[in-house]
Amino acid sequence: MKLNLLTYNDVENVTKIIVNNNIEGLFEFCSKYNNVIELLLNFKNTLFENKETISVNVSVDNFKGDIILDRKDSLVNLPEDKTHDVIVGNLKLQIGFPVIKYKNFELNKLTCIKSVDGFDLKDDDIIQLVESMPIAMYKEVYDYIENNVISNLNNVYLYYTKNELYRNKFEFTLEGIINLFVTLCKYDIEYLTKIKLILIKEGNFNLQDFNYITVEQANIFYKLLKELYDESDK
Amino acid sequence: MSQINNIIKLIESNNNCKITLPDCKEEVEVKRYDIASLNTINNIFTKTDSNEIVLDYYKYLIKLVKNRINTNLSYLDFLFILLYIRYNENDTYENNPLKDSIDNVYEDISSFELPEQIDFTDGSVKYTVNFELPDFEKIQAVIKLCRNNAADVLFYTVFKFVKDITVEVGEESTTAETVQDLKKVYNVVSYKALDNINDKVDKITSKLYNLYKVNIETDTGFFISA
Repeated sequence: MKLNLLTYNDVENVTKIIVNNNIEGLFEFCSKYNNVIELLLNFKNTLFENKETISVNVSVDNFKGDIILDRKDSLVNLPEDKTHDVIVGNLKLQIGFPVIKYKNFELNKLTCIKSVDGFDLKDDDIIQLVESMPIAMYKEVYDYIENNVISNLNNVYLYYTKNELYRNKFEFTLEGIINLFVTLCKYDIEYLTKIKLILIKEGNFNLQDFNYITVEQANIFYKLLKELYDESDK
Repeated sequence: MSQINNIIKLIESNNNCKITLPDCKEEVEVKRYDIASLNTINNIFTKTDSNEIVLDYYKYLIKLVKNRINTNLSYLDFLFILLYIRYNENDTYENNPLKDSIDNVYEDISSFELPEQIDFTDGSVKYTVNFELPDFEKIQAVIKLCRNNAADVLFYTVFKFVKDITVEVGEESTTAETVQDLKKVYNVVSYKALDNINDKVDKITSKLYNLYKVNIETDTGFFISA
């Protein structure tokens, strides 16, 4: 599993997706990841890049304000990204974590099937596989995935606080993925665009460079650039 | 690299069930009911014309069996295959165990009797109607004559059980036996005559229900609930 951080372009893309309510873009973004665990871990790593804590805006019935979270309180109960085997009927299925590729989340759940009797399965082939399944087998596989994989994902908290009113639970649904983006990717698109333009114009960056740096790193470059300019103005 | 073709072959090789047909007593191996078939039903029920839905559903059931069996089945075996492939994926329907239906068919099929010939007069026309349980080829021929309208839905549900109709007017008499001729007669018979025929067909469908404990052909929820 490749463990990375969200790049500057990723964050800008995600922010635009949220601002424009672009569901197509959301699926396109999520489908880059090998599975949902990789996506969640990348979010977590990005949030805590060079930071001990983050603040999250909370708005519940009797409280509106920011809460401070450290790493252990964010994206809690993330299952370990590993596969296991299960026998369904007389076939041995290798089960892992799902990808987010299809608008139909039932299909996304079935991408948990990674191989059948040792034959590897691509996520793109899931529809073909499902259509060939007898209904009883489909139900057995679906129930297994629901009870043993999706239930674990649905036990993840985007943030976990002692006061259960402020907790925010993840859910492997379209609404759950949107909630993940909206809750954990709170950037100002105008600010992101401004920093990008300054770094391109004054710092000799090109557009591709933003595929390799994070927002945090871009901010450091921006501050350095600003210091250089401030020095030269003196 | 994906090996989907190998996977599908593997699933298909494990995807048959053996059925001993209760009427002809032969054992056949048929492909199980899969998700692709269920998707086809879902597509049928997205249509808006109720006659089209019903006729497409009948056609769907026929195709489901035709894709699995090459031989000309009796109507009782045709219904049994449908019952069995549904049972194989989900053994209850509306909280009733379908195993009971299967056992009942094996036990009672030999006592299934058709209504006797009926004679009735409508004005100056005398009708004599004989009934039969259609074979698989006949129901395919009957459905082929049906267009998307209520009259043709009724033709399929009633006239597939009609073996022949003899119509006598005065000294003249003619008998319709082929499905094409039966359709021509159906198109011109009066409501009263149709009522008389339908009364007997109701008795056949009641007996079929008592045998199978479910209206396999007419209950559109049967397969969609698999």
